[in-house]
Amino acid sequence: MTLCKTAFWRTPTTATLILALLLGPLPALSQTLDMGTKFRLAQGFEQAGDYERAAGLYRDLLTRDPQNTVYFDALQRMLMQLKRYDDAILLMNNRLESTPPDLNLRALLGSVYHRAGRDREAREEWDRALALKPVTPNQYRIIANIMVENRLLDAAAEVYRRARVACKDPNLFTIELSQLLAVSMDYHGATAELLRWLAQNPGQLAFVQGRLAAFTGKPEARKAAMEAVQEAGHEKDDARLSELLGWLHLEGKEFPEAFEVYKNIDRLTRAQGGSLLAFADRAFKEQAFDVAAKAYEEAIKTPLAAAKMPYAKYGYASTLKGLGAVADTLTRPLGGKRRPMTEASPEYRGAVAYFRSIIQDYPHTEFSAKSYYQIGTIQFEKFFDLDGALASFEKVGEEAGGIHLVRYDVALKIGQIEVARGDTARAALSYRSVVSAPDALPDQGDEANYRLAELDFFAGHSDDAVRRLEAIALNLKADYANDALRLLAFLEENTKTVPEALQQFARAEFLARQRRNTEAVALLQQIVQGYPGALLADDAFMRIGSLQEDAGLHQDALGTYARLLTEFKESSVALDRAQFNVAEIYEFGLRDKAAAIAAYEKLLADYPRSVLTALARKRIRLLRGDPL
Amino acid sequence: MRRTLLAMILFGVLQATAQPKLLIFMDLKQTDHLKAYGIAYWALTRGLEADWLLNYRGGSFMLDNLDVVASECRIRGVAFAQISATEAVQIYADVQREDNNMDVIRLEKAPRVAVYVPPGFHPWDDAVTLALEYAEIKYEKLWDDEVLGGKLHEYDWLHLHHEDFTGQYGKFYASFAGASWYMEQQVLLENEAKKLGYRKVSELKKTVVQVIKEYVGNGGFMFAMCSATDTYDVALASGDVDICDAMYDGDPPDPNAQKKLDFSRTLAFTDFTLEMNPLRYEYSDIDQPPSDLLALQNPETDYFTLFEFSAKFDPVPTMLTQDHVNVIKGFLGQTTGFKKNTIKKTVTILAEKQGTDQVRYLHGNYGRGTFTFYGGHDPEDYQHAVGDPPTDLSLHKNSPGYRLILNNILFPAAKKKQQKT
Repeated sequence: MTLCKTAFWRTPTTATLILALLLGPLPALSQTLDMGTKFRLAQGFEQAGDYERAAGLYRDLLTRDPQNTVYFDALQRMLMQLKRYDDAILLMNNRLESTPPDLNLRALLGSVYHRAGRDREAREEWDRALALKPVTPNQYRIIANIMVENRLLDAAAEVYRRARVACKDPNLFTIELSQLLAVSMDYHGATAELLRWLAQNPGQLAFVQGRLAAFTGKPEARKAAMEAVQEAGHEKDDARLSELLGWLHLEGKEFPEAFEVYKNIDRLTRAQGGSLLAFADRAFKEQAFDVAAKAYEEAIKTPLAAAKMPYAKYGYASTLKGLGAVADTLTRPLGGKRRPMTEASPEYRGAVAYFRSIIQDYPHTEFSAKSYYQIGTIQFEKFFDLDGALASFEKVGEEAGGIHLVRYDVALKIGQIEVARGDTARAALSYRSVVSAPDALPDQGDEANYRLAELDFFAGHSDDAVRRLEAIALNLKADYANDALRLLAFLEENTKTVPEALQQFARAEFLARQRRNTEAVALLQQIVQGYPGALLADDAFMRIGSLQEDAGLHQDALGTYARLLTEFKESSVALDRAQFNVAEIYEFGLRDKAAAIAAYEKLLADYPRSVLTALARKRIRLLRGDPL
Repeated sequence: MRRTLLAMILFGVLQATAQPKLLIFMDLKQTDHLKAYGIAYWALTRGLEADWLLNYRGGSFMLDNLDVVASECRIRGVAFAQISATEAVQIYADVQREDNNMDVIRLEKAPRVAVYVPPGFHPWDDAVTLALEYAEIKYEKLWDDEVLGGKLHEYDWLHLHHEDFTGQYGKFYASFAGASWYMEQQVLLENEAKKLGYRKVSELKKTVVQVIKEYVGNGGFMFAMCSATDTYDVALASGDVDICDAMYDGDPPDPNAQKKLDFSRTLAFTDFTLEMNPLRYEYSDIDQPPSDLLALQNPETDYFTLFEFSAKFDPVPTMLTQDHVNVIKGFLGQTTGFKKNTIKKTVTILAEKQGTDQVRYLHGNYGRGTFTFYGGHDPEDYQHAVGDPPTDLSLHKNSPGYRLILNNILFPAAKKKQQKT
């Protein structure tokens, strides 16, 4: 038997087989290249905005490779772009037949139904998605998100709520829901969700406040938030809820309501008045004196810890002083005008007594020193009790000699008291002690220099006064710069022209400081009679009027201004100011609205270029009850 | 000769029956131009006579010389002069002379003013309401409910707030999509649309613009500023075509939207090209200069010029351009000015920036009513941004730019005269 020596590959069958093996992949390879190019081409059309052609190509590709998700997504995207919703729905439904549990696809299908205006089918599709097992929060998140994309905010909120029931977790999606509800302007709902979250995360009060602050700037939103917090608070006494509520009230400057809440906070946190004290300080800073007073009282009654008590007492006494000042303004509204009261006057009686009790309880401390200072200020500025005030201020140094800054303030006050007593020498000593102190504040130094300039003026040393005032006026930002400029202008105006009248005026002013008003008025009237043409005559008239107003002699003051307005109408430069003062007397002194309006209108008619016209107009509009 | 004789007789009659008058001059001597309009309006609400002397001392007002009027002028800070009967007659005669480009317009009654604004609106957000508040001219607010509910006919004058009638929420998406005010505004508008039975805000606004157009056609006066001008016409032109992208209305726009615009529906603009980029702060090419190029504007050299019209033959544009200066400082807005070649030939151009194709102020008729469009946001705030503090008009009492707004408010009060050109 002979072996076949013919090579295996040389047989026809084998050759065909080999050839087929070699050439077989070629058609498949060319088909792949074709699809890749086609896909890129489709992408190109899509980017160029030719969605029809892109859709056609993607459809071809998908037909050839039905399981390819990239082709599917692209075609679906193009159909949406072309608003061919029915085609898109068909495409997606076909896909879902093979992959029914595809949650994302179902969610998207619902979206397509919605855009096509088929809302019922959209809801059904989303419900089907939510019915898929297993039930997880993520299902609900996906559906809610797709609803939000379709601006179905209420429906999305509803889905989040359903999730809680389905997943048996009542605290699911609190933050998401709060954000959604806030955007939908359901501030009550948004707050309720944040409170739910707070209940789970008790240490996150600041976070919740921050979230609430995003919308509590609006009054209606703050009100809704408060209602939600109050409702939650009814169910349980929770310090955090109370803090939130208190904060919300403070945001709205509702101090009485906030006070009630802080009482509760103090009780719940066992702060023993600490929370009340902090609230009282806040109310005091905001000048809600009546509420601050009650809060301080409450804190004191608690009782506060010993270390905090003097702060509370001092705060309480300060609010009494503040309340006195408010009452003072209401009963004596002609601003800046003073009539001496006594300690028997109701406005400051309580304050003085309380400051005295602090002195008794905390002798030789910062609190007693400050209390003496306050008493001295009230005695001098309100009661004009010079001896009493002096004694009080002298005590300040004894009580807290180490507090330098208070010492200079005291020296300035003592200087003013000495002027009021008529002792310019002692006053000068006091002021010079401040001027020469290297550690006095610049403002204290300026005030002291200004007061010394006044003393020079009273003494008739106008040149010395002018030098001092010029130095102060160099710094226009200084507190006393305006006062210095005013006095400087006055002196420069009159020193050269009517020096004798000026001296007389200075003496009258000195008497006025001593509240010797009758003598002061007499001197001023001499100036008017003796120097009718002088610029100083105007100032004399105005000063007479103001002194009469201070004394409550409204009719006399009206007479003075009337005289200026009639007898000096050709020469006076203060006519508009006089007319304005007349109107103010009617408005605030005699409380005659009609006469006040008429007087302000006369100012507008007679002095249209006066700088006071804008204020006069405002006063008229207020008196008329016009909305401003 | 005959004309002279007639004038003399008229003069004689006037002298015989004349009374002292109160002249509120409106030239550079006036202390508060803006409140002066308020005085004229106030007088009309009290049934007092008021004449508008076109082109006389800046467009002055002549009222009866009553104490109550003088007092009110003083209280509001408006300068005036009390003139004798003879002087008044002389002024009227001068104004009515044939060779003077002046005329007298009798103001009959205070127009009922409405401002189209959404709830939660603040008057300081809008130049027109700022002007109304400052001049103490009463106005009512209304919105979509009232417009679709047929309330427009109760008013003589309608101001369109800086609204976006295309339903694209002012095209603030690119810069403010995440801002809480933007999201709230979107929710507010969507809820309103839903409440009124519309799936999309854009669909609601298209109905609103149509209703407003009918209001104008029936004799109403419409005044729009800034974006309310071009978006109004864009909404009209687009009809049922979807021009909003998905972030505005949930679905893509019609790719052939531009071709489907119908310019026969618009009031003022034609042949404009839509801006389809949803992220660009622009609606079309009507706006001149485009919002992207505002940074290149120089406030020091940005002015526009009022045209002069014949007071006797064109009283309406004359009234609308009364001012104490004729070159006015420019100011920007989302829609600052209007490209000239997009303006219909039937529209009257009242002011433009000289040497450019930028029109700032225009006026036209539709049916029995009229419309006026004024580009820019706030005449005394060159470039107002979201969140900027409001303009305090007490610091701009003599604003020539604001006077143009107030001209529009008084103009409906004018006794109708035949236009001779």
